[in-house]
Amino acid sequence: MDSHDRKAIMDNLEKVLAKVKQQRAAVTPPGAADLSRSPLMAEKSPLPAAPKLATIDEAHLERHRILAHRTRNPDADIFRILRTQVLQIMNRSGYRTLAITSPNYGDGKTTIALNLAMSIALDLKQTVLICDLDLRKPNLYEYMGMEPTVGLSNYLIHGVPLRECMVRPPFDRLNTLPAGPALEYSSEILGSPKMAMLAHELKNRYPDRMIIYDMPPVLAQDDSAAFMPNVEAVLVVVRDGITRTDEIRQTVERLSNANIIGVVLNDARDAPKVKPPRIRKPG
Amino acid sequence: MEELSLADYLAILKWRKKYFFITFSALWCIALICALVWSNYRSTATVEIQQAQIAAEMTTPLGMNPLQGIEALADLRVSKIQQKVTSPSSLIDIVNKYDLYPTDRQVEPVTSIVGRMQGKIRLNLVGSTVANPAATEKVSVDQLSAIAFTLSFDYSNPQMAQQVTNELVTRFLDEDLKQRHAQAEATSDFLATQIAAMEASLADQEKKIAEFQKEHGAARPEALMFNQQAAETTMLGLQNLDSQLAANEGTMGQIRGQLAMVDPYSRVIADGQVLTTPAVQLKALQSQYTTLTAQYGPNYPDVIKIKHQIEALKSETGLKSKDTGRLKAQIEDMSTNLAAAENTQGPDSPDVISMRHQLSKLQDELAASYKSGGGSNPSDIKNDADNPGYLQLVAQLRSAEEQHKALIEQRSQLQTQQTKFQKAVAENPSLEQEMAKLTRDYDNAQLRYRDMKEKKMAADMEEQMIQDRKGQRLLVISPPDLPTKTSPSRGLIILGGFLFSLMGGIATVVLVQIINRNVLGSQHLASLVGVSPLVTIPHIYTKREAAKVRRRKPLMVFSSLFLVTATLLVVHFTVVPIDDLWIVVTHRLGLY
Repeated sequence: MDSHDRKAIMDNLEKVLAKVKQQRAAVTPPGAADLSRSPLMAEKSPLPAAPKLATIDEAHLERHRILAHRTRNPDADIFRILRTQVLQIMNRSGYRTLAITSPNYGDGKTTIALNLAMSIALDLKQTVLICDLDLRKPNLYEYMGMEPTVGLSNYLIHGVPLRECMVRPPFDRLNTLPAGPALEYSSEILGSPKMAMLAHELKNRYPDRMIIYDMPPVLAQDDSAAFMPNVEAVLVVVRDGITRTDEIRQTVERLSNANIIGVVLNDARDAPKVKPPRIRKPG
Repeated sequence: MEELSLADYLAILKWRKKYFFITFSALWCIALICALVWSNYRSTATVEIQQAQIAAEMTTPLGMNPLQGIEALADLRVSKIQQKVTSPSSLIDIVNKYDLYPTDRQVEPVTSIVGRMQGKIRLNLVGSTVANPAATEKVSVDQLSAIAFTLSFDYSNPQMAQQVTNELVTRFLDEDLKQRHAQAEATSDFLATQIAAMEASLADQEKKIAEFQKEHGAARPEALMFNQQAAETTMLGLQNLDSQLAANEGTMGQIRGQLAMVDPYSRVIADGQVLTTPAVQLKALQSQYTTLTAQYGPNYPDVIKIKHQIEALKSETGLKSKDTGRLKAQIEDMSTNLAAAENTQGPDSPDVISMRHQLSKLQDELAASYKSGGGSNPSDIKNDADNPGYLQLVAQLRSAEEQHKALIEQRSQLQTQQTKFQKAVAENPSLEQEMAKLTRDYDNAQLRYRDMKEKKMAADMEEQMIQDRKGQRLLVISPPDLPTKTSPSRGLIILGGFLFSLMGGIATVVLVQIINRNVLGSQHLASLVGVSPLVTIPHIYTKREAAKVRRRKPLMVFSSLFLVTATLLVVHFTVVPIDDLWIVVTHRLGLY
C-alpha cells in the first residue's frame, strides 16, 4: 500500500489510542492513581491487549535499518546469529533480562536492540518486551515510526498504570514500553528504588517473557550504569572506527558492577561476509 | 598501548581511505606540476688527473712511496685550484661574460648571485684514495691512474650550462698549469739554496777533520793499533838492547880482566936483557926503586942512581906513570908476603920489618899518585903497548866500547820512541772520541747533502716534464655535455613524487589515527576488552546510502582516470614518449 494509506492508518491508530486512554482515565478516578500503589494492584487480571498497530511503515523501518523480520536478508541473518549467541549465554545462566548499551549516542544500541528483540520474538516464539529507558532522548518509537503518547515517564510521574504505558506493535510476541514524553530533568531516576521495583515487577509478571532494556549511553548519562544491578545481563555495543579506545575502557570501567556478557562491534567496515545459517525457519 | 598487527594497519588504511586518497592526489598533482615545470639542467665534464708518462719511481725522491707522491698532491691541488676558479671574483667574470641570471641581476647584487652560483658548481673526486682508501693500498700506481674528478654546473638553460662548464674547465686547466710551474720553480730554487749551504758546510767539516788529523798525526786514532804494537816492539827492542848492553858490559869486563893479566909490552929477549919500551923500563926501574928504597932506605947510592934513571926516563917518555893498578897489585903482594913472613918469622924479624917499610912506601906512593889527580882509568890501558895479544885485547875492548856507545845511543832513541808511542796510546781514547764526532757530523752532512741533491734532481725533472707536458697533468676526458635531461631528470621527479605522495598519504592517515584513536576491527576490539565480540555487524546500507555510494563510484573512477591520464601525458612530454615506452615494455615482456 502506498504511503497515503499508511498515514491514514497511523492517524487512526493514534486517535484510537488517545480514545482508549481517555476512557481509561475516565474509568479510574484520578485520585486513585497513587504513586505508592504497586502497579500489580492496578490489574489483577490480564486485560485485553492494547490496540495493535496495523502495519508498520516498511520504508521507515528500512531507513532506520530495522530488518530482522526479513527472511532472506544477509544482514538479518547476522542478527539471528547474535540472537543465538545471546540466548545461549542467557539460557545457560537462566537470565531473562538484558540491557543493551554503548559508550555514546549513535553507536547503534537502539537499532541492535530492536533488531534483536524482533529476531527473538519472530523466530523463537518467545515473548519479548523491549523498554526504552532513555528518558531524556527517547528514540525507540522513532525507529518504529510512531510518536507515542504514553510511556514510562507517564508512569513515573503521573502514576499511569504500566499496562497502559505499554504499546503493542504489529509484530507477534513483541511488546514495547516506550519512554514516553521526554523528561529533561531525569537524572538519577534510573538508579532510584522505583526503577528497581519496576524492573523487578516487569521480570516477575510473566515468567517466560524476555525483557530487553534499551539503555542510554553510558558516557552520556551517569545513571545508565546505576540501573545495571537490576538487569541480569548487559550487552555493550561499540561502533567500528568511531568509538575511541579510551571510551571503551571508560565504559567497561563504569559497568564494573554489571554483568557484561559480551560486546558487539557495529558498523564494521571490513566484516567478513557471513553465511546465513543452514537451518532456516520456514517463512 | 595496544599492539597493532599488520592486519590492523591495513584496517586503519582502509578506514581512512579518504584521507589517504586526498593527500595522495594532492601531492601527486604537485609532483606532476613540478616535473613539468622543472628546468634545471646540469652539464658535467670529467677531467682526469693524468699520471706522468714517465714512471713515477724515477721522479719521486728516494724513500717516498710513489703512490704517496701522487696522492699527496692530487686532492689538495684540485681543491686549491677549485678555490681559485670558483672564487667570487672569477665567478663574477663568468657571469658577466655569459650574461647569466639576467633577471636576478636586476634585483640582487651580483655578490649574492655569485654566492648561490657557487652552490651550483659541483666538484667530485672519482676513484681517489679519499673515496676509497682501503682499495688503493693494494693497487699499483698504474691502476691508480683512474684518478679523476667531475665538474658540473646547474643552470636553467642547457646551452648556457654547457658553455659555463666549459669555461670553468678551461680555467681549471690554466690555473693548474700555472700553479704547477710556480711550485716546481719554487721547489727548485729552494733546493738550490739548500744545496749551496750544504756544500759550504761539508767543506767546512772536511777542513776540520784534516786539521785534526794533522794535529795529532801519529796519534791518530786509527793508528792506535800500530802505536800499541810499536810500543810493544820498542819495549821488546829496549829489553833486547838492555840485555845486549849487559852482555857487552860483561864482555868488556872480561876483556879488561884479560888485559890486566896480559903484559902490554911484548917481551923481546935480546942480549940476555929484556928490551922493553921506555915505559916498560920506567916501570921496571920504578919497581926496582921502591924495592931498594924499602930495603936500604932512600939515601942508598943504588937507590939514588935508580932515581936519577927514572927521572931521565920520565923526561924522555914524558909519561907520568899512573901505575896505580900496578901499585895496587904490588901492595897486595907485599901484604900477602908480610902476612906470611909474620907468621913464619914473627913480627919482629928484620924481613918483616923491611917488608912493612916497603908496604908503607908503596901505599904512600899510591896515595901520592892518587893525589896527583890521576883519575884511575879502570882499564888502565897502556897506550904504548906493543904486545899483539895485548893490542888485540885492547882492540876488542875498544870495539866493545864502541858497541856499548852505539847500544846506548840506540837505547836512548828507542826510549824516546817508546815514550812517544806510549803517549800516543794514552791519548788515544779522547782523540778517538773527538774523531768519531767529527766523522759522524761529516757523514750526516753528507747524507743530507745527497738527499738534497736527489730531491733537486727530481724537482728538475718535474719541471722538465711540465715543460714537455709529460708530467702529471689534467686532461679532459669528457668535455661538458649538452644536457638533454634536467637534473634530476623528470622521470626521477615523477617517481620520487609518487613515492612521496604515497608516504604523505600514509603519514596523514597515521596522523589522523593517532589523533583519533578509534577502535578498528574486531581484533582490535578483542584486544581492548579481552574477549572477541559476539558478532561483528557490518554496515547496513539503507537504500539511500546505497544509492549514494553508487553515485560516488563513477566520480572515483573518473578522478583516478584523470590522474592516470595526466601522469601519462606528463611522462610522455617530459620523460619518454608513451608509444616508445609501450614498444619497449611489450618487447621486454615478449608480448610483441
